[in-house]
Amino acid sequence: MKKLSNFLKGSVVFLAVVFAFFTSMKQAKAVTFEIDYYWFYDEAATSYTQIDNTISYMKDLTGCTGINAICLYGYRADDFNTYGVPSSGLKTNHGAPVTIKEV
Amino acid sequence: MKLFRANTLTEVTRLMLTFLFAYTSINKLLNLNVFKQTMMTAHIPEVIAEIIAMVIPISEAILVVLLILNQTKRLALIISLFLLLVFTVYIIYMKLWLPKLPCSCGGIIQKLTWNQHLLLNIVIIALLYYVILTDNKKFRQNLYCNKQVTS
Repeated sequence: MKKLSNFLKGSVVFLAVVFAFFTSMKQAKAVTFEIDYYWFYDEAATSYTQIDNTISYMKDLTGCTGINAICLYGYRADDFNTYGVPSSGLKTNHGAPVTIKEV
Repeated sequence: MKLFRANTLTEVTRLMLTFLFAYTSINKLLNLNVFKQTMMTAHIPEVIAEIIAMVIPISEAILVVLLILNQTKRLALIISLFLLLVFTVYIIYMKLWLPKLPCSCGGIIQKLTWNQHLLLNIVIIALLYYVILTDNKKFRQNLYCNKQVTS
């Protein structure tokens, strides 16, 4: 009975370790997101042209070292920069949240 | 028979918690940076997030060892209950104030919605509470029997 108990405990820990490594490897893979976004040309997000769009976007999260949504959601503002102005920013529509859906 | 059933339930709960904490602990340690960043998005200051990011997976790993050892199983069950209560408070806070943010929990548990997560925690807490209560009763009975034998 004691042997069986020890065997079960050992197996459970072993399975947990294998499963953790397996899911962790999967987690580090590229992730596809569907994002409803608004692009504003200016930083203040008050005027100029804006695009209201949905995009399917793939991002490799391996080695991600940034902070906040950049790494967590796997996108950078410049990934949607159709105007070619670096760092002018991905903006929400006057405070409305950007919808991010993992596909 | 009743004692056997109570014992079986305690053992199954112990094994389940061992798996849960071992899995989440390793997963958090493997993705330490993501774990820290998720907490920072929940308005937890960087210094505190860094400390929590280390303390939680290490505590979970220690808890796994305590759950495995027969001598410390009662203590481990009580600490597990306390830890799960803390996690539940965090889930309620996130659900109320930041429902759009992802959970900073490890691995596939991260895929659960806040409601699913809350339900899972409540079920485990209820089970754990029952197990601790029955285990305490058994412990007292054994103590009483031992006293009678020795006197």
